[in-house]
Amino acid sequence: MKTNETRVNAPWLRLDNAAKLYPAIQKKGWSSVFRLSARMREKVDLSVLQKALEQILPRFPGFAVRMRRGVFWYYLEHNAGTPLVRPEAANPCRRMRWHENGGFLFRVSYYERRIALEVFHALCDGTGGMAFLKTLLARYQTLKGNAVPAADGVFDVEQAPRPEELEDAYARYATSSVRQSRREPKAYQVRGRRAPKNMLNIITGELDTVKALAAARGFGVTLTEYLVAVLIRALYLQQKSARKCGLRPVKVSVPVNLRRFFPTESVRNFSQYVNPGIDPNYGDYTFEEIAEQVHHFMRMNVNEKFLNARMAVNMASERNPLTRVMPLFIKKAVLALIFRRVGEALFTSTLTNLGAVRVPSQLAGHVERFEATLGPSCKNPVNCAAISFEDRLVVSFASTICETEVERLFFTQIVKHGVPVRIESNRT
Amino acid sequence: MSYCVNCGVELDRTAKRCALCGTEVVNPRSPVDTQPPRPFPGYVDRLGAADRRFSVLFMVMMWALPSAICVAVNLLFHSSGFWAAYPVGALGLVFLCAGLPVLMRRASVYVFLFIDTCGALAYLYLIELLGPTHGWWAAIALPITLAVSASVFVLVALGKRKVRPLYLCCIGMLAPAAVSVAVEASCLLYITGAVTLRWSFIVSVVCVSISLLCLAIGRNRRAMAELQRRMHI
Repeated sequence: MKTNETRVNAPWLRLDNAAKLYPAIQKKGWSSVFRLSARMREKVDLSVLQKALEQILPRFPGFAVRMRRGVFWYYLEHNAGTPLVRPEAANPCRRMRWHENGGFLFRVSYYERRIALEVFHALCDGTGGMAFLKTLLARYQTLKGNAVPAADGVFDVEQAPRPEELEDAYARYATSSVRQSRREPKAYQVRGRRAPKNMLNIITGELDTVKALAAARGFGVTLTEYLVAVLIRALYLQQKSARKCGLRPVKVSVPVNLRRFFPTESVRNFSQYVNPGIDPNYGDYTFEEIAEQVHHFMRMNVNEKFLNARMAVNMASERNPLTRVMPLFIKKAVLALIFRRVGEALFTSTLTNLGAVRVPSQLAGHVERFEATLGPSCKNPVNCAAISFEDRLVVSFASTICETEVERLFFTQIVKHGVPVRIESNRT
Repeated sequence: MSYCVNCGVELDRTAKRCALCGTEVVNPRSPVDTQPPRPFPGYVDRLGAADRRFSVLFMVMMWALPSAICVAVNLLFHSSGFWAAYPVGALGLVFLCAGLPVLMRRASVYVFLFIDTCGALAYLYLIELLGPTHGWWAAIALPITLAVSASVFVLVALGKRKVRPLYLCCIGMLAPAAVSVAVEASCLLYITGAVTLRWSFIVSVVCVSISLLCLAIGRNRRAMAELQRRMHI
């Protein structure tokens, strides 16, 4: 399909396949927003950070955009304005209105030693966001007199943006003729007392990466599988205490970075979700059983063939002539309905592991740790994100309910496995 | 550094209590550091203020615009009396019921209930004043409105106290019984001057029977268990 994405200086961009969903399901008080941040070793200098942001923005044309409504689809229009760096608020990942913040669909904020980037998911996924943040940090340090080379995911600001960085990789790679059904049994949904409007409760746990890896290897699983298994167990125990009868499957949605299987330089969305979990109706599960189940599920589902089939279903929906000619206001209602039925209802929570962050050594000395926060979901109140940098693994829970039972069960389970955890929160 | 005695996790030096379980931090060797910086800023970005102002403005416009049109048309063609009072009053009542909760978000639900009852009574009184017949407001409208309002008040109070669903159903079934008796009795008193309950008696018997059944099941653990076993979802 011929698209306009090949021209980096195009006045407008089509949304990629995954991004088409996010503006359609957006509500008045909720947007799909995620946050990446870095805690520096020194206090942040606002004027230098603002200058760095202004200098790197032309290198990321996919970020210098505003959202527009077309007749049939939303689209991104070039935004020639200047985004402002703002002080951080206690409630991150707030909904992103399209007319606020100069029309930009991302925010850069600072607090003491932290530089944070919040992005509306229609712009990019975690990999794209991390490329932007790394480049921002590198430019910030360069402006402070510590030159950082363009390596390890840091983009060269002097170089012009390349068309491949803006490609819709879904359209290129979704070639499978298998149309995998999206239908799955509905999963347990955590309930609780709602936090005040627009408030997101954050609990961040800092772990030792080596000890966490050792604990994961002790169960014969990867670090992501280990964290998913711990979260499933926490949700399973929480459900057992909350529901007396009729237990539902507990499933955790795990985003998979498709760049591992399909090479692309795109900094836009390119990920798929798999939902490992357990059905408590089969009986009680020990942690070892959950870890084993998650491990085998991931081995079975996270491969090129299966992921391509999942991509192909979404692309087929987008390419359907009926979908394409449907006016946007109808499409929006239909997408929201589909999302409610085969979207968030199929999993209990989301856990994303952005993996080990690597930055040039000239920058690494100035960064203490990286943090990732997954904004609230429309339906699931508790989400989790993990990221590691050098010897620090940071696991952040974002919750829209007052109860902290899931977080408590998660971190105490890790402590029981011999991994010390240090807790920070915006609640205390 | 302090550790939570309940969870075993290390806590931030500025944390007064464990974020996971709420256990207070008491560590004489390392007292809580009250000096900033804390891990997160204290400033909360309150969103939605503009939306609320817009909502209130929108509702005021929705009330004021049709009201003004009605009054203007009525004044231009005033041969058929002051009929604009009916739509203006009705719109005012809608504004009281729907607009006030947006304006006064922190007020108690009982305050809204009281205001809505007063508003409904005032509107009915206005209809009586403008209408050809008199005397029905005190005889019919007042007792019925008060009965409905009292029923809602009791149900809201029970709902807020988180009474067991069966007990809520037990008391909830008495509300339609009380309202039906109030409706028939007040109407008969106004029309015939005597009270002989007929249809409201049937409604009351059905409602009270269901209410007693709920009470009996609620008090009987075996019956409750049997019901849960057979009707679990």
